[in-house]
Amino acid sequence: MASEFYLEVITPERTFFQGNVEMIIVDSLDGELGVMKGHLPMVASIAIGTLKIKQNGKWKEAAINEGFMEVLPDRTIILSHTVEWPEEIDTRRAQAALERAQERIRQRRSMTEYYQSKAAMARAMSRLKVKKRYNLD
Amino acid sequence: MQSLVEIKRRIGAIRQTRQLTKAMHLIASSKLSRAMDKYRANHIYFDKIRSTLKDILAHTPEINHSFFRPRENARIAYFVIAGDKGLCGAYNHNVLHTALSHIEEHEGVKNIFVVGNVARDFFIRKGYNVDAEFLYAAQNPTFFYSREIAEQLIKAYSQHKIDELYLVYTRLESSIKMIPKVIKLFPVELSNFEDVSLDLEYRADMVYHPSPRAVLDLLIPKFVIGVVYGALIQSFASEQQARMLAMDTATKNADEMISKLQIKYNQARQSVITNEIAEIMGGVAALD
Repeated sequence: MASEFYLEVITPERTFFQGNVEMIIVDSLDGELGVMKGHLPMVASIAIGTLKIKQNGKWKEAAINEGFMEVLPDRTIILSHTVEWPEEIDTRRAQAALERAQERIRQRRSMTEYYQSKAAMARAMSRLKVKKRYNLD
Repeated sequence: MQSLVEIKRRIGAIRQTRQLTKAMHLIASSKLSRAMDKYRANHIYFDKIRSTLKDILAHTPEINHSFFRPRENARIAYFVIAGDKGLCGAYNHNVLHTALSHIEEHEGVKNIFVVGNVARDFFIRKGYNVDAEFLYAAQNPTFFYSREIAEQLIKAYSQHKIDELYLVYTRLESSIKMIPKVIKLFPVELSNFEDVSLDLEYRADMVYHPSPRAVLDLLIPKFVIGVVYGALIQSFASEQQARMLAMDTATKNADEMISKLQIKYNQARQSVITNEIAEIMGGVAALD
């Protein structure tokens, strides 16, 4: 049995997850980042993408917005604005958001808006990705 | 002795007021329960994001980042959260006077961003430069609004329109204890977090992934949004709590007044009857 560590995933509107887990994998700014028990103390940024949690030998996945995590040897805290389980994701809404963002990018407005649209697009795509994978299982 | 009609009219007037305060009490308590749900969901995040940032500051001696550098001849700005309406006891008074005394201690106060009509009127009366852009957030604090507010505050700071920013709000300590608080948002310093206790004192040096700069670039805006949202929610919950208590007291006072007036009314009525009987008796005696 792999050793476990305590994980808390917190958003401004709820506590998304808390409990002992074996491993987590998040998307960081420069690629995937895995954390297991005994990791050295670290603060890491989290990019828009998926959060994978291994608990009792099973992997679970959630769509996560930008955020950051604080890793200590025996516990990890993830703070993000939104985290959603696949069953909470509204495919139609995500699809609409994706199309809206793509349309905004096509219109080539200011640089700030470009970044915002790209972020919106990434969020929508990560939601759709998680949802799709979950439905195939 | 007042006349019967007069007392009756007063009782009627007080009854009407009582109905009003009773209704406001009910409205406030239903709004409060909704606000408390939001508060309970949020306060963990609010405390955690502050303690995480404190943790990072405590373990990283030298951070070179524009949000951490104090500027000279600072133009100070305040972000004050109060209510839209009165009739909520000392809630507005407490938070506004906490803000005012803090403002008067500092020179170079340029801007005051306000949430709530009461706050706006108060600072205009005191002759300050009031920015009422965020007025709308008092009634319905949502995460969406806080993001907008935080983005504007961060923009004002990074464009050097303001150099220091304080947040004044009401912290809900418990259901009967509401404390006005001042938090320094910018520049971020360790001393801003004196009231935050670290739940874990970890002495090893932190590693930042991918780099301290990248992490802080991401963390600071999240921190500001989180704190603004938390402060809005707690202020809103405090306001409803204060209004509920104030209206409850008002209703009780009205009940007391009505019962006193009722006794007065009964006495007056009694004496009118006694008078009448006395007159009749007098008339009968005169006939005999």
